[in-house]
Amino acid sequence: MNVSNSSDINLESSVFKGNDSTDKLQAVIAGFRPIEITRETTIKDEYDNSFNITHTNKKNKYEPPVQGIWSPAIADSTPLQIWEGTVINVNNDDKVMNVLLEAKLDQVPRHSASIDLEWVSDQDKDLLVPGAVFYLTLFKRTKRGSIENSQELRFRRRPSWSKAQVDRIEKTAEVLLAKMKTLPRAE
Amino acid sequence: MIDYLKSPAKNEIEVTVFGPGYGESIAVHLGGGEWILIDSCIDPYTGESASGSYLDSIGVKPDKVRSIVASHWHDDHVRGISRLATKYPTADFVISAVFNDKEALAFLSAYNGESSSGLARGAKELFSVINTRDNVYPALHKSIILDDKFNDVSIKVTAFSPVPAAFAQSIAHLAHYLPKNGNSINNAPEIHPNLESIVVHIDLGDDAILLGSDLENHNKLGWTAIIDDNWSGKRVPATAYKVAHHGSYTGDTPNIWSKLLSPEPIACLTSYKLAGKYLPTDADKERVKENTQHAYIASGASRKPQMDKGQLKRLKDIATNITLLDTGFGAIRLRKKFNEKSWSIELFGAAQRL
Repeated sequence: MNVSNSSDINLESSVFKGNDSTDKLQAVIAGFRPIEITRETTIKDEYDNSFNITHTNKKNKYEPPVQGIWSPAIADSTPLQIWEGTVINVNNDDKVMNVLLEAKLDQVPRHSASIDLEWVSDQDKDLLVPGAVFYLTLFKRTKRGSIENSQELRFRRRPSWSKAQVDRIEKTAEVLLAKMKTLPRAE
Repeated sequence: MIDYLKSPAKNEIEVTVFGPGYGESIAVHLGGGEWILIDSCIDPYTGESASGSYLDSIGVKPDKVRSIVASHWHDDHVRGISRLATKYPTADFVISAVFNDKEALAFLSAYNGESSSGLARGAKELFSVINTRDNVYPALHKSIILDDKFNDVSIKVTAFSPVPAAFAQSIAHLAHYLPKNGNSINNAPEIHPNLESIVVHIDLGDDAILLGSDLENHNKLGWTAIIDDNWSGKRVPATAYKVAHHGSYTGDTPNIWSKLLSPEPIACLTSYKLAGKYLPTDADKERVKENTQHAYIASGASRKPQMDKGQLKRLKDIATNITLLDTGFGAIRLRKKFNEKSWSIELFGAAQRL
């Protein structure tokens, strides 16, 4: 099966006002400003040329920006890939976190991986729990003919559950519970 | 796109196990053109639930699906199950009785995708089904999911698990992740050991099918409790077995093979790859093969990463054990006529002999 992809990224940021789209893209990547991504994927069946599926996926926003993430060191770098990671578990004996990685650029399938805890910055250590979400961005920068690589791993600081949300969850659970019926049981 | 050829005859029983490399689903023809579906995974060729695509391809009408069973809420067992529930509106929807509890349902409500995503997809799928259906049927040890005559043969589909003693443990785990005012919204991780799964036993009269789900072993809460029980430990031994928990030793005990299964049963496995954990391991495969010569795996394809070489090289600077989750898709199909003793076995896509 072949997968081809075309991504059209529309940026809508009231915070960053760069002039060209590359700068804007980098600002978005660095700060996770609100953006809209439209991704169109065509899946072709190698056994049947007439069989194509086109799937359009629109994502309207990222989470709010992470503080202090915009760094001059990566201002002229190009992102090679942005992975959205979810921590599955933390192995403190081996000092690794096992993670699920979903690519935000191009049509790359999901992978799992293990990442050394040394890649987690001190300021993000408190966020390192199963279920936590992070972004791993791989940058490439060409300077005077040589290529410099850099990467950044930042955890997303997520909002907290509000009392209204907790109350709504409890009420919804009651509604769901009322739908439960009983199956007969064997003697 | 896999060509599954013809549908089973009305007097044939069929078990088809689908596996994309991460996850599984099962379609069972009970006879007389009627079906039961257990769990859901995605067919990469159609982008739809594998069992739904399969039934479409062999011309099964929606009203011929009697029940859909979600054995548990983990992502690899319920991807696409909400679409399956919509596609077959007349089928009963069966979930683990662990969710016949307000706290467990609050867990599904909290991780229904509005505030969290990622690993909570399984919770989102189940929430979506329960939220849109009028009736949902929780199953536990001894629940009768179906009891009917199909093509003049009495078929009884029952749940071997979860045992009631496992409820408290499972609900306590789920409750641990219930939102509390002021706590950060994270995703919901999978909870182990898995003692909430529905193991399905299909009694065909003189033969049986055992679908082991992801139930793990425990003296009082898991497989050993089922085997030691006077009712479930004395059912008709099965000649076809969907091996529990992707062949892992944690879902296995010798007594499954000696007490719940006939000698040399057909064993069907699916694989699982996540969090540096690959199932079945080579040791698991050897253990299964010691119990039967007739073992097959739905997805035996490569686990090699699938991305641009440059990206992979860079990712390797930071990460190890980089593994593709959804590897080659395949299916194992077992069929036999009701009066026959042995199953015919067909392998599709990436499925292969173990």
